[in-house]
Amino acid sequence: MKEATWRDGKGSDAQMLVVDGARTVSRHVSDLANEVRAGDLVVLNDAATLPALLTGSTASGEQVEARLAAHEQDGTFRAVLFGSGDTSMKTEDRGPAPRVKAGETLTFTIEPTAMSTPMSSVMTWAEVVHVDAAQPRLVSLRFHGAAEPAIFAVGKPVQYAYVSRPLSLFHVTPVFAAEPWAFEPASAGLTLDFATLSRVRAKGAEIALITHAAGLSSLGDPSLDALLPFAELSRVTAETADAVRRTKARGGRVFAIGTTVVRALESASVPRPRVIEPRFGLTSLLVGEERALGVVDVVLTGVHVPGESHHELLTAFQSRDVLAKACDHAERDGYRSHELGDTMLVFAHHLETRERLAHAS
Amino acid sequence: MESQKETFKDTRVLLTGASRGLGEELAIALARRGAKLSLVARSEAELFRVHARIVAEGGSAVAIVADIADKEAVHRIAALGAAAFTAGGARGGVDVLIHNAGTLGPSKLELMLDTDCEDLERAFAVNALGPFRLTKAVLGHMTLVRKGLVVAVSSDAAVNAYPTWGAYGATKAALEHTMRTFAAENEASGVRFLTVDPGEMDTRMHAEAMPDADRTTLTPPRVAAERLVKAMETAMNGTTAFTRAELGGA
Repeated sequence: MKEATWRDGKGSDAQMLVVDGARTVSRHVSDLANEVRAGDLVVLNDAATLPALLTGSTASGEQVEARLAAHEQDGTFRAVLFGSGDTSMKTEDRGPAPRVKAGETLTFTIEPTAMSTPMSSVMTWAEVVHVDAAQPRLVSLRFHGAAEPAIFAVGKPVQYAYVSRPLSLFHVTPVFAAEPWAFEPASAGLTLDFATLSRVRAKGAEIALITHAAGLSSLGDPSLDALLPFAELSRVTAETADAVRRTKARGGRVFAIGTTVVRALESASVPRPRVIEPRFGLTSLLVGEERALGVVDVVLTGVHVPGESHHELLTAFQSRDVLAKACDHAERDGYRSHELGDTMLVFAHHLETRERLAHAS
Repeated sequence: MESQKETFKDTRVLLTGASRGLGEELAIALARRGAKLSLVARSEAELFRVHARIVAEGGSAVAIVADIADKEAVHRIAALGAAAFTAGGARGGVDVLIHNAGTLGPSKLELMLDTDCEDLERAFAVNALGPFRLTKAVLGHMTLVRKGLVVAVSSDAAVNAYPTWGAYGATKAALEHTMRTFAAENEASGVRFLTVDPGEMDTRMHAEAMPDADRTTLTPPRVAAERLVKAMETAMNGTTAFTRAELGGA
């Protein structure tokens, strides 16, 4: 599948392949309301995106790039270090990352030309608090002072080699975002606009929010990528848990806008009859063929081909056979993959059974 | 800390133009009522002075050095405002957004025919475009959580045409109409919009505009800030999405 190198036009103009059992049709994200019924619930991830790519030097003066990848339990950040080169290069073509030691301080800066407002403090310091024994590029960083201001002072959004232009925060931040938790954009949310959301509401569906820290999708090294996904910070508030319970009680369906919403809601799902509980903390839950969905009925996500971890998540919704056919369909219709690309709206197969029973009764 | 009824207890306020004049006094007034403030201004030294003043009184504030006219800074401002004062599993975000930063445009009052286009552009960038961008970055979330207040500090010059106040007046009129339209589009969202004309205040901006003005006829910013806080309380508890308030003279 062709990679999207940029998004021209509005996110809601992105194509949306509706995969609903036997029905596979091509639509646009702006048509989402046509797939929603009164009583359904659409859940969004309201995480804003951190400028998670920091450049600077080690204590010995070597060039270093740190990509923040995940929150740690103790308020530090897990990060992956890169060496020489820059984001226009494929991560596997970069120079070796400098070896750092626990206790060492890394200094991050930003070129004055890239600084939006002149500030006296254009440096951010982070202490290496932990170096992974097996993977020395994998470290934990503690920022001096409050972390977010330090990160925003010098960081840039994570850039992808296949994206043709520099990404700014406004390219990677959903229009409904608030707290900066995500290390990469939760990209399904980038396709939604308020016109689409108001049509969803006008259909009689509810909208609720979760916050989930989408982590880095690739670390540019197979042995590191094998460790993904890292545990992600996730929050389902009491209000959203209530909205899910209401929806289930009235026979509505839960739409997750993005795989991060699936992970957040399924992490908060508990055995019946409670269905879902409020939750705040890290989650390592892997959703897929082996783990039946407890809460989510439909997911809007990017186009993920077999072999990608997000494709594995979709096997919780539909069989590998249906998904492979859907990918072929998307390929034929010229769909683009990756963060700025097109989408699929995948309905879970358990809905078909449920609807058949409803018709029978 | 002066004792005040804590009508803004734990309310997260994002305030631009916080380093002097009305912005500084508003920051102090809100902090004394229990608000948690994210203060935005271009001048680091002046902003840190206001921040220190609030912290010394026992108030809660963080400083965000940024130029509201800078497109690249808008998401940093919004995200840091949303991230400030969050703890545990409670949801973050901005409860109250106040567009107070403003500029006259030209360095002194000029006839429209004498106004440089670049000065007018700068005035639009600070007084209208910046607030539009920051509102976009903050309001979406407010409408989904179905509460919030957006305040725009405007001027009588937005409504009436005064010779030599054209650049300022035109940009403030644009600001007001932007807010009115945001309000009309989000009438049922639970978010409230308040545009205020604080009257002529004894500020540095006013002294630059009218150096010979009789200062005894001007409202001290501290008084205007108290009136604005009252107007905010009324707007938050009211039922109409949009309010325009004239805070009156000295």
